[in-house]
Amino acid sequence: MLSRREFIRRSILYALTISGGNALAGCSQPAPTATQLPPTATPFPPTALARATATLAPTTAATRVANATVTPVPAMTATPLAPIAGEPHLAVAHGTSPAALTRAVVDALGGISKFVKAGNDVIIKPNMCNAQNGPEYASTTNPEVVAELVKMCLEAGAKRVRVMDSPFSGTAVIAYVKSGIREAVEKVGGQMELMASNKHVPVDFPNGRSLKSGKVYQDILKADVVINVPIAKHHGSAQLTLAMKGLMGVVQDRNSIHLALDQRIADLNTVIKPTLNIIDGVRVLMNHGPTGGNLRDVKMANTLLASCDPVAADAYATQLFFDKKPQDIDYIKIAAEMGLGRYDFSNLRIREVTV
Amino acid sequence: MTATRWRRARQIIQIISTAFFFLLAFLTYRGLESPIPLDLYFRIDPLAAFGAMIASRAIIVAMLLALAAVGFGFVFGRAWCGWLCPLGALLDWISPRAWHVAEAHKNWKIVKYVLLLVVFFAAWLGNLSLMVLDPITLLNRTFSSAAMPTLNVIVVSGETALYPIVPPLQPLFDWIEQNWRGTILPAQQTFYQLGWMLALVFVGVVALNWIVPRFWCRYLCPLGAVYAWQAKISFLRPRAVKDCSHCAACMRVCPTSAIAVTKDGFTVDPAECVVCMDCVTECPESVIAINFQIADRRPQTADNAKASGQPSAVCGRVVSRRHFIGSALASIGAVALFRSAPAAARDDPWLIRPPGARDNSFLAKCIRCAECVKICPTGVLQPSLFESGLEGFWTPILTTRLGYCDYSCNACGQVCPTGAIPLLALDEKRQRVIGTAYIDQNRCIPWASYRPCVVCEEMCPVPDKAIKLEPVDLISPDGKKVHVQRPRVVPDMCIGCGICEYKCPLTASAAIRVYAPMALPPIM
Repeated sequence: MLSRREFIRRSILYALTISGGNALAGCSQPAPTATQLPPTATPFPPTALARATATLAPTTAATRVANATVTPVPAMTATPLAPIAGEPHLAVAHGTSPAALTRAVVDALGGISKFVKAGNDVIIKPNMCNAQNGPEYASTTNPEVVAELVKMCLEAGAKRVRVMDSPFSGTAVIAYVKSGIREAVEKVGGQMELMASNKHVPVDFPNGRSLKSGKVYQDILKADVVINVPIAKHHGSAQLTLAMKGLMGVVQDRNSIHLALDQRIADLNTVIKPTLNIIDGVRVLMNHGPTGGNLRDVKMANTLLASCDPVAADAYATQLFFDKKPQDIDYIKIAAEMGLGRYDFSNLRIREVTV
Repeated sequence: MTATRWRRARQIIQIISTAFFFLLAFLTYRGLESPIPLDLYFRIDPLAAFGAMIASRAIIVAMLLALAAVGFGFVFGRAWCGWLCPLGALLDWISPRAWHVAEAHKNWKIVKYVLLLVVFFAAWLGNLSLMVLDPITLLNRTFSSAAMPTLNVIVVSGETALYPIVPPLQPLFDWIEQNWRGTILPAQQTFYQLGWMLALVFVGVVALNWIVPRFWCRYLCPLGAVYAWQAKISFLRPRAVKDCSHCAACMRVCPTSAIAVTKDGFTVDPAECVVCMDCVTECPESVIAINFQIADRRPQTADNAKASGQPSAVCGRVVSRRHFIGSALASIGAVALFRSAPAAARDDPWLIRPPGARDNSFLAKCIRCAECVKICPTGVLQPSLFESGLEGFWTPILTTRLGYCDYSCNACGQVCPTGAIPLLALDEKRQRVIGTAYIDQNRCIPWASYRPCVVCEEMCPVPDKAIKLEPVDLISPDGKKVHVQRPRVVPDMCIGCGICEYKCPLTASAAIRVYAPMALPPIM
């Protein structure tokens, strides 16, 4: 038996050894520089990927942490399906019932069973970006859509279905309630999960051009299936926020992403690849996004889009809801150039249904 | 009940009361679902209640509960201090192992009365600065701005460090984060600029215990002084029920040195007695009892009490006319001095008050209790240092680089016990202007660095955005063509919530900053 004195002595020795080691390891790393501005964005020819990767490597605090402590998690467990033979790349559903639309749009892509297998651990990531407004203001994803998706996943045999996002203003607890999503999800047997800061792990973005690393919520990386359910909204800096931009919710330090927003949204999507993207266009926020708060800015579009290809989904939503060209939205253009998806609609199979 | 049981009862009630205080303190993070008022301990605090009412010349209905405390004081004397006060309880528990017996500083007892007089004279002049000495506010400030942020750092760093390496603990950590975050623990880490100072004050108050037990309660506590004054005519007090051998065991155990045993007999100063029952329990002859008696204000001894059939009691040292006049003059001088400070001439540019607090005779209502600081989910509310002069020391201000006033939150007005921060409906609060943002074009990224960035506009919660974007095509210094949007604040639309400043990605100070509000008359 250890005496108490001996136990304390050994604990202290152990702690000192560990912390001393860490301190030394920290010293050998370059000091964190002030968050550096990335170079002024210049167009990247798609062929110049390798060169760009080599030259753009801003030293950020996140990089240092990644090097110093935890081995980066290499990639996501969940991955988008390659287009299934015979099934469309992109599905569009029109109709007035959000629940029926959800079912129809997934069915048009081949049905939920294509994406969710029995026993799967599913995460649904809607947009709950703030705690300000109810769903009628179209700043957060339609709760009926989210709830119906939860139901469908459970019907397909999912072991558990969690719903989460990390808002940029207000607390997640309040945002979950205010968006109406908590109530709707819990009613159908899904779980709302708070994205705890201790569970964000350093991740490398080896194919990122500007963003090289970041801290990502680890369960997003580990889940069998991740379904991204953004709402279509106007956005001051990125012009629009859709599927690709919505994934900023799984990253902890968004300040650094904002420093080169369009490129870094695309970079984020080189690692975070949801199984399925469903863009909520039941209500669309046409102006003063992403926060909104004025019913004048909300357009009823009664449409859902679904695709495994986030670029295709975003590009189609850009045209359909906002009457803009996908190539004018920088992050969509960059993502397509980087090979993260396509928006050559003439070569994509698109299925449109009305319910 | 036997004497030992009385003491046990007191100890249990002390534990319950302290636990309840901290329960309410933790519940404050849950928001406003509590059936018990979260500010209960302030509502039953006569010092805070009547101080705020005198200073603001208004009846604060919620705080009339303090009248019950006054009634309590007239019956039970300083029983509050020994049975209910959470700070008193902590001082009982965190104390040297051996009590010092000697009453080393008899004259210092007067200090608390003088402080109390100064509190009320200053309140009469509209000043509540010394409310920082109220034990409940002191404890609450320490809890909200020093203890909780510290605890949260420990919890989060512990979790972060152990999560990857001790898998069996993961379910526990997940459970804590899912169930306690935003309910028992703060929604996010908060950072208080004066946390260390509050901790230091608290440690100082506790450390005084090593000079004499309950140093704070005996000599300094102005709330204790309120009850001490009432105790002089309270019904309940210890007395010797029969003559004793003058062994002085009671005198040695009394934590506030309220008992004097001389050859003339047993006397107790009710103004110092916290009704802890230790003397009753420790008396080897079981002659001391605590009883309801009509107070006798004449000095008594056991012997002449027995003769006259009156309880034994002596009055404590009373405040003299000299003290009274001195306190009045000191209050007038100090308050006048405060009001000759620059803060009285012109608002500090960073003096941003919680919604609705400005122009609400705020300094005459705020009791510095830090309930607002505690409940603020973003940590933007901070106890101030000198932004509103010494007079506003430890009143809440918004430090918008450390947090922001959330557009979906009106919690501070809901927990403010005195209405210093008015209770505003959410819609009303959203329109309340607390400050105005200005952009520093010399530092703002699109203005100075030829790169896109409009995080401020993106975050602006005003439905029509108080920040407007101006698209421009520019040639950067190295000859590249760039397209940026330059943000411009529309001051007339800005409510000063500060989320723009908080989220501005620049390091060091933000390129958009919220200043004290300024409303210009409309353009004719």
